[in-house]
Amino acid sequence: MNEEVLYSECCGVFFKNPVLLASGTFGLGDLFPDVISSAGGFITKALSLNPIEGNPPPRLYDDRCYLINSVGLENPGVDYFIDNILDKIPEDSNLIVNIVGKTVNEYELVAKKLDGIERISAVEINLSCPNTRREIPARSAQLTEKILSSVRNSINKPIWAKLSPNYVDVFKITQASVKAGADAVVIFNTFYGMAIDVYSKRRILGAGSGGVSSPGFKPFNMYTIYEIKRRFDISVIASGGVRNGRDVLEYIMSGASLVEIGSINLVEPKAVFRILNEILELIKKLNIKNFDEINLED
Amino acid sequence: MLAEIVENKPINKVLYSLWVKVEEAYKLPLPGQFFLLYIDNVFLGRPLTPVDVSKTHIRFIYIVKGRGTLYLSGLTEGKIRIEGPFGKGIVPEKDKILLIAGGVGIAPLIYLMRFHESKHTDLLYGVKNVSELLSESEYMYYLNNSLIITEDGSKGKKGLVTHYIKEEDYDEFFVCGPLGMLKTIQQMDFKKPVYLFLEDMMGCAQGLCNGCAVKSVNGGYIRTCIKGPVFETREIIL
Repeated sequence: MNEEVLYSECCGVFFKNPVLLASGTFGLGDLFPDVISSAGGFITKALSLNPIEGNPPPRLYDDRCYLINSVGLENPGVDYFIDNILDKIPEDSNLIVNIVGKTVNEYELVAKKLDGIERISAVEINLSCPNTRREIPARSAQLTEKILSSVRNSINKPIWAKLSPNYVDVFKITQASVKAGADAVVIFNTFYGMAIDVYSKRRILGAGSGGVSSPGFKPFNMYTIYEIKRRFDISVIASGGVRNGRDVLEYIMSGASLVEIGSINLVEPKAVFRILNEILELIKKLNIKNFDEINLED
Repeated sequence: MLAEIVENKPINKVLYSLWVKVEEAYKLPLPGQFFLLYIDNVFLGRPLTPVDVSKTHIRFIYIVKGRGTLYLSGLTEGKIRIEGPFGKGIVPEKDKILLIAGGVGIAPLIYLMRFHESKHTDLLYGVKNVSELLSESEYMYYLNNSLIITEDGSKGKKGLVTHYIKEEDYDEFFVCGPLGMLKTIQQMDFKKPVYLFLEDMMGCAQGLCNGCAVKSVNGGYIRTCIKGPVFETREIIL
């Protein structure tokens, strides 16, 4: 969708609208080209240096108000993506590549492979996947700073740090991100969670636990974004629990520059069309002429 | 698409029959393909394979397994969102086929029978006990022979379906049932084609989310939704 009123900007990059397809919910970008073209940006599934097999099934559990996923970073590796997928991704919306590494060096190596590709608008650094056995990097300010500095020193593209809500002082992590030179923080990846089958007395997910997404986390994320914007000079991208256009506007009013939509894509792969229309209707009602005007009243 | 619930009722101790009327034109499924039914009290769609379809109606036979199907079993009217068909289907190619059904696994195999009507189709149908059996009138029309097997011997032969398979009599096998049954049949290592119909939790069902996964013999996982849910037994590791 190309409506001037939706034009947005983040870290010096133009977005035709503020709605992004969140990492892991829209594959690598070779499916549903019409949806990707309509979104402000598409974020790839996390890519690593070497292919990752992912977690054993079952990988999903849900209830009315939440979804737990335990995909475990399954991906064919960054080289496969560059050689076989990249050319199939529609070029009329921003492409953001989400990257992950087992070590600081792996993050740096993956980022370097992407830096020379002109059409990539930004690199989203996954510091927060709750689906692997390894410690979440974004729970440590020191590790966050180390990874982000290492990527910052090796690439020129904007870097977004995708942070974790899990048992962490997010303001310390944001401070580390700012210090390392990240251009934006993404608030948030999913929450730790698990599901139990009372009949078999076992944990349901193949990996035991996973990442929970839910509209119920949106208020927490909004407050976090509001506080980050109050305390730091860094762009924020919202992610978590968006179901409709009003949710997007609430996140923008909280201080987010862009908003990712995630789990909703799984049950409504064309949700972005509906959400953009809802945003347009709402901003018409609010008599907003462009997105810069969207500010919270005191 | 939206569909009107026409009828939704228990047909025995464990099975429910759901008829819906769809409100727009849709693609008729091949055997093994599935639809996602969006039920109010769960987030993701619940995958069900049809037993019968027409241009306007779809019938499902299902069991109550969790929150989603429990809620579904209580709906007797109103509209429900249905998407699909998804996945890759399969049509029998050989002359003599054997269908091997365990429990509610009979559902997609009944739908498959009509695609093989002019040729020879036999059925082995196993359940725990007679109270879980689907009436023979539901499927006999399409069959040459059928054998009912109950674990407790309350009807037909006693034991497990896997005890009654004669590989030499058939050209192809189509199997749907509990995981244990599929595993046993996989281990029997038939020389002829054996197609396993898998069940899995589904996310998008369109290859976007990697939420459904089955281990491939070539290493790694493959997506049940777009590469299956029907697999030749030598393609996957259960």
